Amino acid sequence: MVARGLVCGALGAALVGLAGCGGGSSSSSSGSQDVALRFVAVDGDQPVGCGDVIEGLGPDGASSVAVSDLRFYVSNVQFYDAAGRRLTTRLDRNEFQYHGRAGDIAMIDLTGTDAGACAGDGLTYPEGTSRTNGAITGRVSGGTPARVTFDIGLPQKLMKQVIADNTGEGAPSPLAEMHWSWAFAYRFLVMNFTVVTDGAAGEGYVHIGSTDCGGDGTKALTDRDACGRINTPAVALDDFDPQRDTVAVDIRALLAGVDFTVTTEEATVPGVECHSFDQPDCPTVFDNLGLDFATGSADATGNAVFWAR
Amino acid sequence: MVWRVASLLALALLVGCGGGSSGGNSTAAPTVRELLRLPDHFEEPAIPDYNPLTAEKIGLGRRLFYDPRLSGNQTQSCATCHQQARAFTDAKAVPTGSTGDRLPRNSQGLSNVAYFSTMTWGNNVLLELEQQIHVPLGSDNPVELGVLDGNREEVLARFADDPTYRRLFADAFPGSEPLVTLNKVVFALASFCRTLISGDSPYDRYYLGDQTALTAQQVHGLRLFNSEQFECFHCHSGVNFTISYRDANSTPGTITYPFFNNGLYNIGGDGSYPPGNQGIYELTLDPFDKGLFRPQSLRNVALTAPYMHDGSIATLREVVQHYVRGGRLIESGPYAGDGRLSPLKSGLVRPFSATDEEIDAVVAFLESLTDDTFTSNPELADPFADAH
Repeated sequence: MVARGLVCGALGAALVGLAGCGGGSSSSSSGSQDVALRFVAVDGDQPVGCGDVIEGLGPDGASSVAVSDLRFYVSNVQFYDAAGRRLTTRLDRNEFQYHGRAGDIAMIDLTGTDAGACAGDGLTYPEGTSRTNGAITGRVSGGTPARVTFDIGLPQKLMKQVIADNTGEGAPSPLAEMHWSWAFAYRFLVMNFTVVTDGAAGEGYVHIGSTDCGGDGTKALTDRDACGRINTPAVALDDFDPQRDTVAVDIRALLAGVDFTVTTEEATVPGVECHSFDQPDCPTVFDNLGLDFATGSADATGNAVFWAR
Repeated sequence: MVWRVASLLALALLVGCGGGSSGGNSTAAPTVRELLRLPDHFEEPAIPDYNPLTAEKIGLGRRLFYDPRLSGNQTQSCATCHQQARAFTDAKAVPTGSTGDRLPRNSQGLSNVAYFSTMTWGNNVLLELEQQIHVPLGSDNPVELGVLDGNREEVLARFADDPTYRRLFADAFPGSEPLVTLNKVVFALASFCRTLISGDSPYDRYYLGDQTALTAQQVHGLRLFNSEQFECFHCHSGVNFTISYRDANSTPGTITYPFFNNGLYNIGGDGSYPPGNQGIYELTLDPFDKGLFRPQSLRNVALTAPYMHDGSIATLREVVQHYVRGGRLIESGPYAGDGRLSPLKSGLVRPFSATDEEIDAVVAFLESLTDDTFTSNPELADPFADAH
């Protein structure tokens, strides 16, 4: 179902560039080994890159999308061995991985800005950065990874600390991206994309992040420790070997059940809108991510978007 | 949509001079933060390595900024169109150049100009002030200050022959000959422009914890500004209220170069703007780039009327109403068209409902970005006026 574009997508390129990070099975004498948690955007079995169009979405399969920007934060990465024992996981430090007093965070950015839809053509509110990152790297000790769990977003404690300690512009990389202006804290997952339905062009914006975060209108989490609706998707991948498997980010699954229309005061046009507030597409998108739209709680077993590949 | 950026073409012209101020004084040189008197909630701006900031260049640049001898016919200075009391704008829809040419675009406010990722209204290749300042100095169509091929040496000689300027140039660019060059003028002006820091408005005091700095109406307006109803914050966020932003911590991989069509025109129904003034399209000739302009900083916006790239909206309230409507309707004349229906308009400029009270609140919040300290700061004022 993926129509190949002319340009080799940055999403695929990121995967190729990073596949080496797994570091083979070079377990050291202390029983620790390099580990890489690799991500790839997919449509079913097919990797999706910046030049690709995903077809057959929405009612009657009449809609197609091309991804322009796909970024998300990952936290609480926890590996387990085959017996279900928790392994010690330590993430590297680099421009996409930050160690804070209140926890660790990594950013996956599967889209650059130069190829295909990622260049922003056809999207009137593109975002995105030119840098890309398809893997989280670190070391794991105490056994051989066979299962992994993680969250898509910032832990509330880390978010509170980062907001309290930094200006919006001064936060350390990768936390200087994707803030929803400080009153709204951070977005955890951003996917911007073009939409075509029966030949008519539209735009798609899926922005997942905590809401009801308090504050005085300038900084979130000043008057509370956690947002009212945390909206942090959980992922649990059983039978996951990081040397063999990658984490699929399934665009078709993320948009399943969405009606691909946006109704403004004057017209109904092709498109998808969810900014984690009261947009009509939010309950469906949240459900696909295993999130309860009413409460903001997460259930990994209900998350159909992230799976082992 | 222009989100990429073209090459650093003008850099090559610029690297020839400057450089020199690495003198080894025993007293520690002031830091960038000290030279710019940055508030704590401002990051350090990005400053090109080829033009390190010094107090001497700032002082020289301030004098040049206000000196009409820097125009070909000695009738205008930078300050003609960039007046401190108006946050360095001129209250005109569009200005007139030194030789009478009518310029196509509204004079830019210069508040915090050091932090933009691109310079001017609609240009995606001007990345540094050192590039941009050559435009008002040397443009010949239209003529602005009119320092052109035919008179450049004469203009520079005015400064080279002036004892005060001889001393200021020598201090700013020690040991460098010839004493006065156009690039030195530009580097000094860029250094002064970086000191135009506005961060002491009522909003800033509120941000820093003074709950009394904003009225209840302004706080309400701030929340509306940051709401999914008004959507202002998508383009006007961060310390400078624009996502066209970079600072010393930005990296090539993270800087963005935003330009948007806000539905101001829709001539012929294809999203066109008035001919010759179509934003990025003038550079790229890509039809999808028609009407793409940089999101402006909203710092001191209550002082910078009239608004938009062509000064075609008179008041702040009308600007907010323009966004509520989701584009401007021009019913007749050569520019007739409904901007709300523009196929090139940003997906975030959509009609929505707002009460008069809500619009008033957003305007009141925007007024809280007026920084009286900035507009009255004597260090940014006309040095020739000091002498009187």
